[in-house]
Amino acid sequence: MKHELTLLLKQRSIISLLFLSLLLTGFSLFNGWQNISHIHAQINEATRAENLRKPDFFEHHSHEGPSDSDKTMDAGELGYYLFHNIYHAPGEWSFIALGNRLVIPSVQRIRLLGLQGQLYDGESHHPEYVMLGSFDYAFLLVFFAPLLCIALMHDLKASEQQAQRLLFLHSQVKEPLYFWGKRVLSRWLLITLTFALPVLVFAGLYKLSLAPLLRVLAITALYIFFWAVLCAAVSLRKRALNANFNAMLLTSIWLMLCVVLPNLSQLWLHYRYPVQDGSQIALQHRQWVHGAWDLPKEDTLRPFYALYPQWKDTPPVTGRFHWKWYFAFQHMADVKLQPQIVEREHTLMQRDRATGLLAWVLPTVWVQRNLEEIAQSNVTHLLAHRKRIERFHTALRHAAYPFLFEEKPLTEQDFQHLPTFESTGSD
Amino acid sequence: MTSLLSVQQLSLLFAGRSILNQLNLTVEAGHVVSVLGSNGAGKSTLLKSILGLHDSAEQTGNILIAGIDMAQDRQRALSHLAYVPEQPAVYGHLSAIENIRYFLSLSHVGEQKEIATCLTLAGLPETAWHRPCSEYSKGMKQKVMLAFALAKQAKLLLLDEPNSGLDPQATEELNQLIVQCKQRGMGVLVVTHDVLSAIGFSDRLLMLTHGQLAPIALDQSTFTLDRLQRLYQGQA
Repeated sequence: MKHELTLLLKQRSIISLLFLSLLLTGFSLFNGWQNISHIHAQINEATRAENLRKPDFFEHHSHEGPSDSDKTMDAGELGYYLFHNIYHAPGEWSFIALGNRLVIPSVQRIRLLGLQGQLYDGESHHPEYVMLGSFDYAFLLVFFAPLLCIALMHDLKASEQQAQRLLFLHSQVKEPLYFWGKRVLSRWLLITLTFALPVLVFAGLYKLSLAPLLRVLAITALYIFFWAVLCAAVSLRKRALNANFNAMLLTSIWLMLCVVLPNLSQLWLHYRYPVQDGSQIALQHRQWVHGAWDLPKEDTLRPFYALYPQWKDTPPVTGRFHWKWYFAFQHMADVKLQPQIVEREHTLMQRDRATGLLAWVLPTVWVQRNLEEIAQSNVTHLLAHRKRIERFHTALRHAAYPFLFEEKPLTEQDFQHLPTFESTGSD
Repeated sequence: MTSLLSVQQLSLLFAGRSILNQLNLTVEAGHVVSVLGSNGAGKSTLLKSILGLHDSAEQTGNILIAGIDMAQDRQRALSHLAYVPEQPAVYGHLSAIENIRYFLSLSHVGEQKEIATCLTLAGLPETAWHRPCSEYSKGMKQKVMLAFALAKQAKLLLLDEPNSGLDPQATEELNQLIVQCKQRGMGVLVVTHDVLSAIGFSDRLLMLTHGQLAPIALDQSTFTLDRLQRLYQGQA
């Protein structure tokens, strides 16, 4: 192996290619890291702003009492005017595969109003990101590593034949399989190192956890090994003496495995498991809410009290407008949309499971899926993030409802005890 | 006398055509045997057979190298053999020393002999040893290949058209080297078109026609152009 590595590393073209790979890997990690840092900065800035805004909010929306400490606030105003930050915080390894992070907002602001309308209002895919993808480690590994394998291994036999060395080599080697195996392995090792070394440096610099690091390295090594074996199978077959043909064949395989088949299968999955667009949900929510203004208040409050009988015997709704009624029809729009939300999430999971099956056949999908799992930017984590928002919104409602329905004013102490969205650092 | 190469009743069919037909050949230690033949006569095919690079289904007969049957133990048989192709098989981006070291690693023989000594014996100037072989002339590359054969301590040396593309001085130097190898007790089999050189260094001269080898008298005075043409046409 030592001699094979020497033979390779003495060639300037090989050194240039490996250096380019090293550089691109470093840049992809840096780019991913920059994106994640930007998200962290946004979250920190939003947190800082919220910490300043909330005390001010109470000050501005509270009503005078006999003393400063007796200031109170109306629960309806609190629900309508107070925004709460929710964060889609990146995980430690999110920089490796940005996935959905660039198209899903990292910071959103929600109120006590109907949740689904607010959540899906922000779900809009940026066409430029969707078209181009993002230059992260996952992208580079999936698309560039195979090309590097093809460049270094398409002419294993053909180059020796062209240099009229093949016969001589065969006359020297005792086990041709062992000889070619060493050639393939030495190339695999060098390519893998150009991907693994920058990852190791990053992990060391930022003191990242070991288990995900080992997984990333294993995925990298296995994926490059798959392409090395594929290249070897093409360039070492019995009549593999035409380097141009080998390169063309391998590039076609790359095109099929990396571009055509994953895209076709995605198209099929979208056709087989159609998911309602988020904006449609937001629109429908808005229509329920707008429609509720024209309905008799009883039509909203009766089903609401059926769900929350504990507030049934609270003071009745009077006058043309009442916050109780307003928040009840906001919430009932969420309740009516619930089957669609459940169905949507179920279909997303079905699509995700089907992609998982596909990953057994398409190595590109396997890599992308595994790296996105490590990066916590896959569908499972996205849905978990949604669940956390729903739990927070529920906690917020449960905290505000006693004041709203019993028509009790909030004191500053009550205000400070309102739940806040906890950013765990990984959603 | 020790027979370093013994080819017995070797026949080879290729695409239904008989290339070698019940061919017999021996090369003894300290002897140079040259095989002449027209283009397409099967000279290179004969070398490929000796190197064990033909499918056994196409080939019948026995090949023994230093007494070891190629069909039984190719690995051990090959360890006694060094092959120098018509185009020197050196890697252009490696130096002479690196090339020899790499080739030795392929044969798993390690450095049996000091590479520098072998390069000196092969007549490669020391100033060239560490330069990339892409800067060498063909004659210098041939010397690297011969130095490898010496470093490997091969008993049998197979040379395919060694003088092709060499100028007269380089040809003379190479011929001297072949004689030196012979003097060191190596058996040398040369496949060549260069009759005059072959007469100079060979102990036996053979003509390959119709898949069989026929001896030629080693008398330079009898080699008229007319006789050579008839020999090449198999009419001797």
